[in-house]
Amino acid sequence: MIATQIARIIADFMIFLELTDDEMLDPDEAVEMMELLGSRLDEIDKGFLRQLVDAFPVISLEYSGKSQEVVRNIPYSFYLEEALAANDPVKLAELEALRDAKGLNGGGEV
Amino acid sequence: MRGNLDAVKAHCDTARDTANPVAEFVGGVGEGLYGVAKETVAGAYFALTTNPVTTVRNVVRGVAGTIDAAIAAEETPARIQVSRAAGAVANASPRELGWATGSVAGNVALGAAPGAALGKVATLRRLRGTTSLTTYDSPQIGWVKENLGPETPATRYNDSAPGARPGQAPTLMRTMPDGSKRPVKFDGVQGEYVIDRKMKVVDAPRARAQLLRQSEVLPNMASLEHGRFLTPSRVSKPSSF
Repeated sequence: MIATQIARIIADFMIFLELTDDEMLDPDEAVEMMELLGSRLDEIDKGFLRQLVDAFPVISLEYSGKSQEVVRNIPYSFYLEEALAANDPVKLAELEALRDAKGLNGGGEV
Repeated sequence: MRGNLDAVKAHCDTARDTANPVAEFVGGVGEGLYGVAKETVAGAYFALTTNPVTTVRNVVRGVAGTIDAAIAAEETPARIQVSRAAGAVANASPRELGWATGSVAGNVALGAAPGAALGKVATLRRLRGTTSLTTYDSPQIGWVKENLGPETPATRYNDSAPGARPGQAPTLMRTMPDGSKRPVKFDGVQGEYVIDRKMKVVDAPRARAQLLRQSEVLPNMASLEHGRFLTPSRVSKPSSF
């Protein structure tokens, strides 16, 4: 499925941006590119974005350690469920509550 | 350089003739400092800082000489300019006063050679019998090359931040626990604020670490106490941010 293939490309780049050592990759530059990646993800057609969001936890099993964690957290990191729920205020409120709860528990990662 | 100063002087003359010359005087030069519309002031500033990584304090000597030449070239005595500038910011905080007062070219110099410009202002204030106010040095803002690639949406977005310089990022130096210094990047500078434009808010460890670095470096700057994050829309600015 093409969504899986695209998800892998996004995952590989996100791993590079998140996990490359500061000496090899300027962390501020990395964050700039993450923000650009996030804005591009926001532009994706919502139907395909749904397939992408569902693909990330599946392909994360192809990675290990911190890489796996980074890939699994891509929807969370880029607020992709929030993007999909843009016209659903009830769902948005639920997502915000979940995020706040995770934040209080430290880190906010799944 | 002299051509730039003549253009700035012409702007000052124009400001005198307007209904509210003091406000336009300070506002106009301030606008020029940030390179928004007046290529003259921005051009002079650029010419003085040609190294890819430098702090503006490194050009103190050259800019101090420029200030002297500018003041000497002005038809209006410098003490009058100071008085007008002080009047315009009479209700400003000491920080704002430290930024805004000075000669016409001194507004540029405040970013480049605060010691020289403010020293001259302090002398002239004593001549006028005005109360000496606490002034603050401009922060040591370095400029490093931006590596996002030319003519990309991210570059265009970041370069449109207030006080931005195309192809470069303003940095503040952060002191690490071991005493070493590392640059913390922003996108622009405006008055007491450093600006960071975010095309998208990202909730990932490295992005959170960046926010922490940016917030930690600000208390070290006496005249820069605020950071401002700008996002394209409310949707991309969740409450957790």
